[in-house]
Amino acid sequence: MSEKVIDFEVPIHTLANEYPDFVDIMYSIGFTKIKVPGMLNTVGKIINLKKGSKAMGIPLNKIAQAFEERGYELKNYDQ
Amino acid sequence: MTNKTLSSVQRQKKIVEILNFLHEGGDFDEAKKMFDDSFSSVDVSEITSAERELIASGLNPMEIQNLCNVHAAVFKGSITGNESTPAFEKPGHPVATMKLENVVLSSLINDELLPCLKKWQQDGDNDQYLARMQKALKDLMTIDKHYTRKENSIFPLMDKYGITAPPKVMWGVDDEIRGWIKDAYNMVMADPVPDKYEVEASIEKACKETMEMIFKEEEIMIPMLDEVATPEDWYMVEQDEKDMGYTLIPDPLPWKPTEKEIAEGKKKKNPEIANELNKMAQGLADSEGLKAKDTKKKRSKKRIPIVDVTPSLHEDDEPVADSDSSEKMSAHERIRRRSQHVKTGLEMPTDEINVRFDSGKLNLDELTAIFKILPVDLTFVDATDHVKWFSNSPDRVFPRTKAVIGRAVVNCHPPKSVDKVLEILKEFHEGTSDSNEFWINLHGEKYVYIRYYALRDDDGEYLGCLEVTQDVQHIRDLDGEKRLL
Repeated sequence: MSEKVIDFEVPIHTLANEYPDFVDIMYSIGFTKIKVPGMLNTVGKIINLKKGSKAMGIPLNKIAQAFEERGYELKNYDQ
Repeated sequence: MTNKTLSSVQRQKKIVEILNFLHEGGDFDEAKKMFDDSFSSVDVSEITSAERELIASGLNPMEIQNLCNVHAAVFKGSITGNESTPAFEKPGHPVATMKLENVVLSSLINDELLPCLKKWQQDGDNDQYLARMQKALKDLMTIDKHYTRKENSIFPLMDKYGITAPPKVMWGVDDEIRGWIKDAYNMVMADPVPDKYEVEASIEKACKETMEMIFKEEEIMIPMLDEVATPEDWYMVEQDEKDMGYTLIPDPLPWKPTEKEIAEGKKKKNPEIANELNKMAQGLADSEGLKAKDTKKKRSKKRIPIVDVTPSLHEDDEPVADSDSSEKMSAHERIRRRSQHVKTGLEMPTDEINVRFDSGKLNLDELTAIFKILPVDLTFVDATDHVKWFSNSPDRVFPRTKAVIGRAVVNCHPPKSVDKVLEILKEFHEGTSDSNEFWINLHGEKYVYIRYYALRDDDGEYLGCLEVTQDVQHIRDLDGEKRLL
């Protein structure tokens, strides 16, 4: 198994394609709109986690923690 | 340089010349060059003094802001090597306008409203801070214009390129923000003012959400549009948005794309992302059961020849393409065609064409004038539930933009009311109802009466829905009588 890496500067659409549990994790942190049909394929191609954090007012460390707990490594996360 | 010898009068004349040039829709880069040619070697203080003299002689100080834009661009140019200004930064471009409003809104929140809130909390008896918070929140409520423009002229653009989900979600959030700001305003206006912590929570919530929306607009919405929208699209937005007004900024300068920008926009024809989005949108529409195809067949079944036309009509020049040929066109081409400004009429002198009704004939000029002056606002949604036409009266109760034409009606309403709209249309389609009505008290200023009618032909076939909106405040206020005799 290769490493699971969450890159904070990669479009979330890419991350969702790569990791099947990504969308559910995001939803559980508060990115509820990610499950609205048509959002991930549009907005998801434009934003990464850094921007998403700011747009939704969800702190970066909360996102980081959620992914770390599920065994992900963090990349381009500096806080 | 000879510029140094420009007299103060000459300098003023030059400034006025540049301003007029901009107001007549002159190209921003051209204005920059004019400015640079005349003032490059002149001291900044000289320009400011020329500006001051102009204000003293009656120039609207607001104009100085326009001049400052040119000014700033010239200085920026001298640092970056005087490249042409990107379209999004040109004054009057809808994106530049939106960003300018966002700068003012951010400053209102971070430099006035929140500091006043803090000071008011520390010094509770100081009414001055409360008064300033009241004023700031009242100003913040004018964000309604910013959102209304976005919802009516920018969302349709996203819609056209298949980006349908994000505007729906964003519209919902816009409405929530309107609500939060209103709540906060009502709190600071209440007598007595509620608990300080309640006020704080309410204002902070409104500010936080407003700031996040600014981020969403600039970092998500605009980059996404940049992938698909052409200069002509933006020009259409610019043409549409004037009627809706602006938030805390003076009316922007007119802007239109340069030939060069249009040429570059054409290269962008059908970018990959747009194709992908279109495919996806089609998939969504299919799954939502929008039976556009079925009804189209029905529609073309018969056409009632109600127009007296001589046979020289050039079909090819008809600016509004009919649905069959528009399918073959690219999205860009469709939008480009729609953005062309077209006077009502056919390809011949209008007074020779009559529409014959069973109760008389009207020529096209008469017809146009009648629709314009009707004391009600009409919007027609066709049998496929797409907006087909609206009467363009100058003082509409609710703004309508040309961008709305051709949009699915589900995408034209705030999420809150969309279910109700769909229900009405469903009943009209099924024939279980023929009309419906609503009345709304708008801030005590307007009393809006909205009626929906199902339109059917002689055979009872459903043609579409006519929305009739009217401010009936004046009518309700009428009392006694005023008679001709």
